[in-house]
Amino acid sequence: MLIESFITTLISTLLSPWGLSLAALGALLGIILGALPGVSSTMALAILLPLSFSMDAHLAILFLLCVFVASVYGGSISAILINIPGTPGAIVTQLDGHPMAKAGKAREALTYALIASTVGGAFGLGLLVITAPLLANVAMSFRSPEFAAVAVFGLVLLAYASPGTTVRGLLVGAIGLICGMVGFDTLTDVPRFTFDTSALQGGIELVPLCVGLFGLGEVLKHLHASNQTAPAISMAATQRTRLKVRTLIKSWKSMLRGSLIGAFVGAIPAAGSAIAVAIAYAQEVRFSKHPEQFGQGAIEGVVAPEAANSSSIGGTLIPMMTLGVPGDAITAVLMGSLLIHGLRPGPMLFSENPEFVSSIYAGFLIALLLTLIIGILLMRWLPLILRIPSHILLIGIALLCVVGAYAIRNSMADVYIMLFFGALGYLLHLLSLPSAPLAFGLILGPLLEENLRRSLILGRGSWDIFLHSPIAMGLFALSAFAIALPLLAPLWVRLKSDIQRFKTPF
Amino acid sequence: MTISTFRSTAALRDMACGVFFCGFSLIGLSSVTNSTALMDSLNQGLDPGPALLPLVTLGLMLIGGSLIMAKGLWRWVQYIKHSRQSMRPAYSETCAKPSKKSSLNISQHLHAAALLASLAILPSVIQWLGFLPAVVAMALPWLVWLGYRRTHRITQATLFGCLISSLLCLTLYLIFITLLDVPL
Repeated sequence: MLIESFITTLISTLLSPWGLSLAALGALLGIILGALPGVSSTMALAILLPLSFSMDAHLAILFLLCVFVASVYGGSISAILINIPGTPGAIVTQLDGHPMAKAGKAREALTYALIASTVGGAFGLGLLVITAPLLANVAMSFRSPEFAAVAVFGLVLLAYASPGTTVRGLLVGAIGLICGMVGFDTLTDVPRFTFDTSALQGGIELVPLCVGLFGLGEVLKHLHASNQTAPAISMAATQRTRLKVRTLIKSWKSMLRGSLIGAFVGAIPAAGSAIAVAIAYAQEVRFSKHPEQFGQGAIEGVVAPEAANSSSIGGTLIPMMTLGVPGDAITAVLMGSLLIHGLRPGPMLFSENPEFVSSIYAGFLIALLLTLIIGILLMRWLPLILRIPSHILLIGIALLCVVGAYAIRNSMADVYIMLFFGALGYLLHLLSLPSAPLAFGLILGPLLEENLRRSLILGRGSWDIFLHSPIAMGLFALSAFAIALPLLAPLWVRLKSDIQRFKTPF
Repeated sequence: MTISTFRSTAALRDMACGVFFCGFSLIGLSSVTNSTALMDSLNQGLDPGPALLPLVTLGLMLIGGSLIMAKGLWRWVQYIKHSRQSMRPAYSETCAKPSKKSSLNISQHLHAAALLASLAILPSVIQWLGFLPAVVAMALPWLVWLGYRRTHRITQATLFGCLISSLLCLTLYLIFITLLDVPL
């Protein structure tokens, strides 16, 4: 049934000129924004999110998936051409991609990256299609205590993987939790944290928070450095050259290894693409017969991380679609779009909206194909895109954030909330605190509170109800371990060195 | 950055983080405790009430913030001790001399604050002047200033700023007002 629905959605989208042109626009914007240094995939998605509100839910997710998938490839463009990764996931691609560009093989490197990206993305999609329904089936048996534990575990894991210390990440996540409680309580209608203002009575929506935090916050961060010019690339760098197809085919093993690593690492909440590409690159160096070539323009050094980067997209969508836990900051923004269309990701999405699930799969596939086509067509113009002065981009994005935040509900309150979170994002940057856990807290807060209270009602006010659920207890234990790990790790290292010293004869 | 500067910066950052978390939790706690409806909901029947999770979260945040602040204070004391022992000027003395780095930071914050302020007044200006003139009035000075910082050519920056701000505003107008029917 899912396959039937998938094929029907795929064909109807491909035959719809409006849907197809919207998807193509998304892919084009994704590649351009992803290629520009300072604009991450999260930022690209956050600033284009308000454009999707007036669209039908299927078209909105298609548009955003195209932006998402294309911006992931886009990140590798600046990494290869100017040695500055456009997105965190492209951080490793530059190690071998840029030396290739310097050796006059820029177009080759870009093409290898694009093809590896498509193959990796397809692999990630395959894993998503296979595992998501199975996981959703398992999650269907979850009750309130398990969901409360999933929310706690997700929050801890997401804070754990954020840069900086776990405790600080958790505290930022706690701010997100509190932000999720602003407004009227759903069960008792008691106002919380409204400070007697009507602007806060409606609560804080995920979208103005994401637009402010990941859009305006990033603009404020980069505004001062906008006078710095990126190194200019000549148009000749990406002109048509002879592509060695045989070399590309030879690197199929690297592509497959990268895809495997990316998909599985991406599926771990909070692990993200940056970790996946680092592991993929390290594995390639290990498996290579010529490890000395890495860092000097090895094709495997471009292909494997790019495949991992793209396949992690499918992986990050797995926890989001099956458990309602965002895999990373990008999927948190994507969740905002689903929520605004009245669709709550989680196991119920598979039973209540199977046609929407298949439209996500179809949208993903279309996004991959369009990224490949537009990526090839756009290749010769890439140096021109990289010449766009950053200050124009930053002011444009700032205006888009304001107008977009207003467009969500035609409310001034959303604009001021967006501005507040933009300022908060800048403050968090100054304090070296991660900003993504704030969004995770806002998403997981209502899930945690609702299920915690429901569990306690079911347990007649007793916390013992959690003890009777092995899954919940397992997840709580894992959360406690994740929190304690950074505290225990130095002690373990000290203990090991003490033992070593004790064993060493005088 | 020398080890000494790094230590003082880390200590100050820890203290600032502590103040941030403690301040946020205290504001939140005062909001919860001042609401009689919320406080009355505690221990009423089987539902733990809408005040339980906020109180637990804010309490934990207060403890975490205090610990980070204490860590920052400890680091600060260690730094002062170290700088006295090594006969180096204390942080207050080095702070008195304006460095290139601190002037850069101030300029960075000023840019951010000015953009934030101009965006905050933009909705009111849109209501007063209308969408197109208000957005041009906001974007133009910024584009001219940032363009000038980049090229150091005022005429080029002004002409380019006029062109780009008009294009930006027209694009936003077409997308949001014409296409998406946003009542701006």
